[in-house]
Amino acid sequence: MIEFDSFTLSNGLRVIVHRDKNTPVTAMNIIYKVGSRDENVRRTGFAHLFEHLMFGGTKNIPKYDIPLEKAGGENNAFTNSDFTNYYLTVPKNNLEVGFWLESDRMNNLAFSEKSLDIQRNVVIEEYKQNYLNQPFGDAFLLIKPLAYKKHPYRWNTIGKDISHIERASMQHVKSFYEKYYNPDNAILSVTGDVDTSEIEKLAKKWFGPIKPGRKFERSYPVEPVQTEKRIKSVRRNVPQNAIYMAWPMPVRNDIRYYHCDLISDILSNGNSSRLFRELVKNNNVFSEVNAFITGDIDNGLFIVAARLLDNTSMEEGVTRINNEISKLTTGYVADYDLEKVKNKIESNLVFSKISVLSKAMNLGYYELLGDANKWNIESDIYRSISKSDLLNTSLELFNCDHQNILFYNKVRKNN
Amino acid sequence: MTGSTNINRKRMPETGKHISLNLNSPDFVRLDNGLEVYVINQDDVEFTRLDIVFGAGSSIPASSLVADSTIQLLIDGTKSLSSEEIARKLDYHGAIIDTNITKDKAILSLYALEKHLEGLVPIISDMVANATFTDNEFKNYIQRKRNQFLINSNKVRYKAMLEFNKLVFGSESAYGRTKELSDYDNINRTDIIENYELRYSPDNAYVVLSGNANAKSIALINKHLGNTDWGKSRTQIMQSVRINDVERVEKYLEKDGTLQSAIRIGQPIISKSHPDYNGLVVLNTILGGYFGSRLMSNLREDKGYTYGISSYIINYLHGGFWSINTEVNAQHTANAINEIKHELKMLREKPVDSDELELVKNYIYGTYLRSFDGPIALSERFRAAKDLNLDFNFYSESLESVMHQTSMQLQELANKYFNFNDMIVLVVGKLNIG
Repeated sequence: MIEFDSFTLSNGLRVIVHRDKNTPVTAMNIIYKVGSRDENVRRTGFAHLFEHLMFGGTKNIPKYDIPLEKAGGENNAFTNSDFTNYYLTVPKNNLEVGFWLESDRMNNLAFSEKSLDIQRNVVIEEYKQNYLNQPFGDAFLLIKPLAYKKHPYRWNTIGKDISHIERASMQHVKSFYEKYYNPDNAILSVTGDVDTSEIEKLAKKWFGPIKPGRKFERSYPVEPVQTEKRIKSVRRNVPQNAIYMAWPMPVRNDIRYYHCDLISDILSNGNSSRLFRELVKNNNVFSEVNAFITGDIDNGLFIVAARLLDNTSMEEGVTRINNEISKLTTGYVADYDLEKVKNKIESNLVFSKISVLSKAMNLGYYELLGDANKWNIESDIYRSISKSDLLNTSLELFNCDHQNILFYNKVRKNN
Repeated sequence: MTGSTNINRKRMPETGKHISLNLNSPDFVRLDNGLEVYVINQDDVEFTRLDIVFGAGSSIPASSLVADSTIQLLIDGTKSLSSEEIARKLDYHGAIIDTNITKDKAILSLYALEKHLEGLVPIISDMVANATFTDNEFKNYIQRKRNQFLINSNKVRYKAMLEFNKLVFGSESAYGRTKELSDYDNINRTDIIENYELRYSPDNAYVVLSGNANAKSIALINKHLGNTDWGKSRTQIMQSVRINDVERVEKYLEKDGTLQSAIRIGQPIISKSHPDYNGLVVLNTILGGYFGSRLMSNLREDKGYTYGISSYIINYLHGGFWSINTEVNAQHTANAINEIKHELKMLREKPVDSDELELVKNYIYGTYLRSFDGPIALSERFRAAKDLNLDFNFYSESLESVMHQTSMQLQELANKYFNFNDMIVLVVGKLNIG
């Protein structure tokens, strides 16, 4: 049980505080409720590019990192489809430096053409390093637009294309900042050896004077229900064939999301999981296989990804995966299977509460989902799930007409 | 809004004094069979971590693939439990099993809730004492690893990592050897069994128990891992690691169609107990050891050549290296090398100013504070020191010494260690772009 206090400043900033008296380190996490799903279809990758610009300094503090490093701190950030997350850790007696830095870049970011120019290049190198110059690195760039036709999840956070990043202009940067980077669109969480009254004082002092933004509605095109199986095939310079399958799944706040999570664990969490045992160990079909959920707040994807051994054809690969899935849709789940995946979840939740930073990030994330206390009841939610829940959700999830398949073919070599 | 507007946003808030590190040495217990156990207990947590560290790292048997395979196949079957039975029991108890290998050590780690230890420790002890390495498991494992190797070989970063290791330690030495595709075809199951029988014994291992490590857990460990059955008379081979003198080389491995080049620049480096070591830590941090480093500021934040560049020092028991590591826009490969050269030259020619030195010292202090935070972190730091035969006090002494480095000392060190013309330069990718 993670105990915490929460309050909201008059400008709308939501604040969560958790005390951990065992650590000399404090963590600060800020979530801005903006992700790649909020992007213009012609300017994808923008939320993430913007995250880079948040380190470009303000009118008061020319370089974000320098004072934090001087205070013994460290920081980073990430962007996903749903939100942008900034975090830092700092020795507990220097926590105010974190408040100063984070409030100032929420209040008054400097916009420099040079910073935009450089960060466009840095992000393009990131794009190459993680997606284009890696074997199988572009698989998700391909599977998402196959599975989504309307919803902005159809592009990846890094962006649809490098040209979109090249095209980002200062005007877009400014209006994006104005719309989304406001106290009423953010969640601040602080963990460490701190008390709530101290944090409240600091929050009022540094964030209190910042004006709220203009109200806006965050709404997205609804993805139409898929009516037939979709298949895409590509050829790349990789040493193995691979198959990626994706099915649309329920939203994060739906109980069936938890069912899907357990189903993916039964299929592929741990060395005893079904896909690994059946298809990697007992029958030499794949060299690797994984099932996982994308974890999005709107309707995400349930994914199975496999790398095929040389003597396995694409057809056989698909049949083998479908066989394992049909075990789930015919209710083949033993008490042992269910108890096992619940125990795994329980352990992982405990492990996620070890570090002060992980606690700050999780409290912020669950608050974004509606209530930070959801983190405390996750284990109970998973515990309450029955075999028939899994059967019913499997039947809905693995509907043949909802299937998306990407065949990732290796180039045939002549030598 | 009243009273809240008179804050000075230009001035950094006051910072406090450095907090001292929590560096209590672990408790020591010797089990009935002589196995050493180090205990880092924090009894208000629910989880426990158990590390068993064997003197069986990748430099010790004749091939590093044999070393890897032994530790990784340990979990795939014993005389009484099949691979699947082991996996089912571990997963049922929500445990995570992890294996790791360095040049000197092979490590089996268990993370679990303390309440499940009773169901888990007997299995761990069974793996360690009675692993079977069946032919089926062996073949399946090698097949998977061979495929992984093929995929990794397509990555410029991976190729550069392997090649640099050969160049910096000498490809014929125990530290310099790396995996080749042919190793996967030539390995025999008997090599693994031999490695296991020779080196996985209580007198060639130690244990670290961290997190919730109460008396009951220690008794449980003694009952199973301290069982004398495990202490069969296995001849212990004294490791002899030969490291060749290496020559300075420049090497380019062309990779067609790559968008980025991997660059590695570095050289063999002094050990942590050398008097220059702590100064070199500061110097390395300034150059490429943190986000605000000179290399990051220049090649990423000023030129946009790369997503990231870093430099670091790696020490093993019998040798180590220092290296700069990056992947850059292939078109700027030569420019990037020139900028690296320039940054090394700046450190040799100009003293580091006091602001930058102060910042880096504080930054290093912060990394210490974070890396000693909590029992798990502490257990990792403890092992890192022990595996280099260093006392746990090494850390506080080292931090103290970092804090006393002067610009003059650092400039001397830069002239001693940061000469581009002495360094190994490796590029995997493209160098000559039209």
